[in-house]
Amino acid sequence: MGGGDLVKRYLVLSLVFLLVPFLVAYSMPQQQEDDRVVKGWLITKAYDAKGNLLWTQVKEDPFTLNFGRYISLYLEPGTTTHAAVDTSGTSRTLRVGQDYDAVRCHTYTSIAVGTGTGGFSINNYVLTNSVSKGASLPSISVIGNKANVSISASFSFSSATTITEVGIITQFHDGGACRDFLIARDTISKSIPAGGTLAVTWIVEVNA
Amino acid sequence: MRREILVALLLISLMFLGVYTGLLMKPKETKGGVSVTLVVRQYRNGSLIKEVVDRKDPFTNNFIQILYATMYNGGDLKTYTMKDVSGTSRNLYISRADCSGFCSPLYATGNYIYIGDGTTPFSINDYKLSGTNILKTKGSTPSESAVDPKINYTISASFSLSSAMTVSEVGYSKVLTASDFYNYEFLLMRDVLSTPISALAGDTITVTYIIRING
Repeated sequence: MGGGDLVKRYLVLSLVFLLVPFLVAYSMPQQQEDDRVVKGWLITKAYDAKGNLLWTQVKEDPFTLNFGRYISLYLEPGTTTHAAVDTSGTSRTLRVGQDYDAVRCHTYTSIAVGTGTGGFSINNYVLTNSVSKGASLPSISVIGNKANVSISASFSFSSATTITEVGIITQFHDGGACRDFLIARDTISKSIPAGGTLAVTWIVEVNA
Repeated sequence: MRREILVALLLISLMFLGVYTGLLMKPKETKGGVSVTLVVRQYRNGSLIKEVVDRKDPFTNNFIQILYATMYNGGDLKTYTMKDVSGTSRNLYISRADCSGFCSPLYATGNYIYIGDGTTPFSINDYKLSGTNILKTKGSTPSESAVDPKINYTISASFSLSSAMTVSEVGYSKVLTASDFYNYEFLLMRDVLSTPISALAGDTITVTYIIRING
């Protein structure tokens, strides 16, 4: 064997020893302690025009800073305000301990789907490209010390569409009016054929 | 022989480099969710004696009702029901259009952190602590730390004990306005400590809740 062949053989061997562990480590599932007590689940199902189930996807849905600001109202000891950005991109004031407090009008929580791109950020305040919005009455189920609160919505598409983002929008009062606020957003990439339907359910699991 | 050893060492090094870069470049998925960590510390003469850190601090049904109300998309004058710390069920408005605020839940002010000597396991239906020796004090203003994609809120309280007690449970309550326009206190979290704390008169107990969103 010539010197050149030996070098080639070492190079190939080196690449194998580098790439195989890389791919194994890259594709390994993340192992970390899960100490969450609340989880937001996004369940999406697509049906064709005849009502046949095409696919189902279950994902965990991260919360935006608006959700944090809302939850923290329940941690406040006194009169104060928190800022949250509504779906128009305007920063609004959420009040606690005074007239026109934030929760006096939450009469409307909806699920929005869109075709926009871009990863999740806590600063998301609107879907990148919203195409439809729907809602249903929420339901509660309690089993033992665990509880699920869920809402769902169904979307029909006359032409083939790829949905890439889903958001949860609720209303808070800003001292002047009820405004829409994005409290959760997730990215997906799923196709619905022409005449098909997308069913979305958002489940908040408590004491998970 | 020496060359073979060098080659073997090189290949092993490459293997470790492959694992390291694979883990480093692994895409991090934001899973979402809320975690609650409860930290209880016991101080004597200013020195830390004991620290109990409990994760997965559970929420009561009162908190779940708040979530339900948030998601509700009904009309005017709808109410939801929570149980106050006296055990009385109270109706709270989801919405009331003719009212500027005094009838809406977050019109009220006040939050409290409790410590007690009860050991009854947590139930989602808890509306008060289970012990007989219970102390409460006002909670601090929450501090926010937001580093995308994570958000943390921290609240705390401190108790100076005038007599000895065993601290085995901790709770958090919020004062809210009910539909009768009066303010009531509602327990939102309760946890039985994994390790009880035997405290003496003069000891200080600090309680810290760390609420982590998206991690």
